[in-house]
Amino acid sequence: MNKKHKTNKDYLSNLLSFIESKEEVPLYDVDQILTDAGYKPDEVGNKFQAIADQSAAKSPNNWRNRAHNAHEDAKADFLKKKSIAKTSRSRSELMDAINALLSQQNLNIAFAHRNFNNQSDEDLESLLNQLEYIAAQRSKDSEE
Amino acid sequence: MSFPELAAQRVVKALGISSIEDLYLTNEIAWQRGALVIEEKLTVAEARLGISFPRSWITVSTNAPDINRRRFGATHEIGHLEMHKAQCSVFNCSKEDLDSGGIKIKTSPTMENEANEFAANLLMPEQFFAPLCEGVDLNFDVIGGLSATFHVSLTATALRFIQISKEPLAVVVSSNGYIRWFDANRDFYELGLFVDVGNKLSRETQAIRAFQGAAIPAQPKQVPIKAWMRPGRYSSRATLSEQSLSMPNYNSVISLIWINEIIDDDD
Repeated sequence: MNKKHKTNKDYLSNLLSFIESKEEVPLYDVDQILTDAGYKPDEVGNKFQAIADQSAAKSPNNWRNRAHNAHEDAKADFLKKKSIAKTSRSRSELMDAINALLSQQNLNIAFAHRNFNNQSDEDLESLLNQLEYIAAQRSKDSEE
Repeated sequence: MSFPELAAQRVVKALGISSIEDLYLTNEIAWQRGALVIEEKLTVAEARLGISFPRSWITVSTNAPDINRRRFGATHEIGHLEMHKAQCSVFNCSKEDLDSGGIKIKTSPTMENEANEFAANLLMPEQFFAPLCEGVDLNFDVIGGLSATFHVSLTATALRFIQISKEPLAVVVSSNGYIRWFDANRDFYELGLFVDVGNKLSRETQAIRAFQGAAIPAQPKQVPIKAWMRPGRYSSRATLSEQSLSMPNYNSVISLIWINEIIDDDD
């Protein structure tokens, strides 16, 4: 096959055959073999590197992709449950509910805040939504 | 290396962050370090962290003025998680922690500063940031370019630049015609120079023009050193370079100032 018409699949197939070969080939021989076959070892190396990089970038095992999917799933689950649970509560109801949840032994959650002086009702609502979600998860986990 | 810098480097190494593009993955980095990032409208806080196991919660306010600020806020909270988890886990948010005004602040100013330093170091790690600062002069074109590259605010970028640089540099922020705060690098402090924080801007600064309704020159200008500095051991004829930029959204002016001549008082 003319090397100019080789596809990435061909390159990968050749590489896999080479890797699977039981015969041990010293690295300096690899360069020589490639040169004898009319290839430039650096070019071939770069090509394989590019293929490996592309594959790694798309791989579900790449932490970037794994984390992205897991993060988006967790966020979507929370937002879905939040929209279902949406209720209108007064400030004192919000505070009571937050207090009740925070006093639950198994919740074990601590807050560190940024520019967090006086909470508005809206902020308390957001906090309560998260606490309720965490409490529900804990309850589900303990049942399992 | 400071504690926040070490903590940020530990994250970079643990995740094998290998490119500037990886640094944009704030949510993914947070997830890998144990936190879910949610964007919600918070009216008081810019960001909030709930430390919990197995997953902590970072809430970033959609009220934050721009995406860069939100990234900084989320990374600041990752910093708390990385550095202050132990301190936070010893307290429980009991009933006493809540009052009619809301939930009390549980963090100290030191912890807040550490979280900010962590965020600067994780968003602009030295190994990625320093090579881009080599051999370039400080000015807002350079800072703007770096800010766009790292997706970080102009102010955060300028502060990181002066930390990395070996030249005597300072960043000053003024609002309503007064000097609000400044930060400088070690080379600057070693010259015995201190900006007059709290004072009214001198008429000899470029920054004052923004509060007089006049345009600030785009290019750096030489101004008398005494226009910015407290009295010190510098010649009365000494000057420094100033480049100022108006930030109308914050009713503020950010100024880059640097020393490029011998300023010693020979008299």
